[in-house]
Amino acid sequence: MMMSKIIILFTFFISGCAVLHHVQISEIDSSIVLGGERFEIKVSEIGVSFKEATGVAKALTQSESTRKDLGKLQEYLSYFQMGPRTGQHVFNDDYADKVFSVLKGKCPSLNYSGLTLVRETRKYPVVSGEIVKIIGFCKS
Amino acid sequence: MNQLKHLSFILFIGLFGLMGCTHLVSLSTTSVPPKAVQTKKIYAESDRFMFFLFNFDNDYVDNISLDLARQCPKGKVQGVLTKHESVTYFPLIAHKVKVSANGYCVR
Repeated sequence: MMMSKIIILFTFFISGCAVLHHVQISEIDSSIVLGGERFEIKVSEIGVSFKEATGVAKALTQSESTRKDLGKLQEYLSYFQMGPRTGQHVFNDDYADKVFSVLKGKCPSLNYSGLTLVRETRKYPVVSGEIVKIIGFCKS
Repeated sequence: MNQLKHLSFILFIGLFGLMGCTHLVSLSTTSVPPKAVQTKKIYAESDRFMFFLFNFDNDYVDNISLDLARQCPKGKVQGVLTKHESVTYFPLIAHKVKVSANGYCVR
């Protein structure tokens, strides 16, 4: 019993994995990058894995019929959630639109360069952090 | 029978060896400058080796633009081609993720 608790805790600890989906580097003005100030912007949204959620629900339920129903639900969900994507599903992807206004706040002079755009996922059991990160350099 | 066992063992090991392949995850580029203003081609890369696919951050990609700028201190870097790839050395056990960037230094 103790061993299984340790394994569960260990699984939760190691499952906080970072997955890199996409990296894009912009054009670079070396005078800004070498002489400016580094800034970092991060916007994120919570992603949900319905497959994992139904899997957990199946593991927790005692009833065999409920387990079967959850299996069917898992199958139906997989039909309309198929196709290529990065990370887990989110309910709203407007979080990525905020990037430009946040960038204006970080670098009011808008004299920035050397932007590195990173799309990544921080994966945890059932949920995930769907992140868009921008690193750049600003000269005032 | 013994020979068949040896052959299947060699095939099994061979299959795992052949799986040490590269996978292109994503690619992006900016406008390439005209040939007349291109001075030199520069390159920077960053990678992370992953044991059992464990990876807790992606900070290794943060300094690529700085590396490129250092190679072109008095100009601009244009035509930046960013390549993100993953390499499997041995399935599940040994992986590497590499991000590389090529560009032209323009003065």
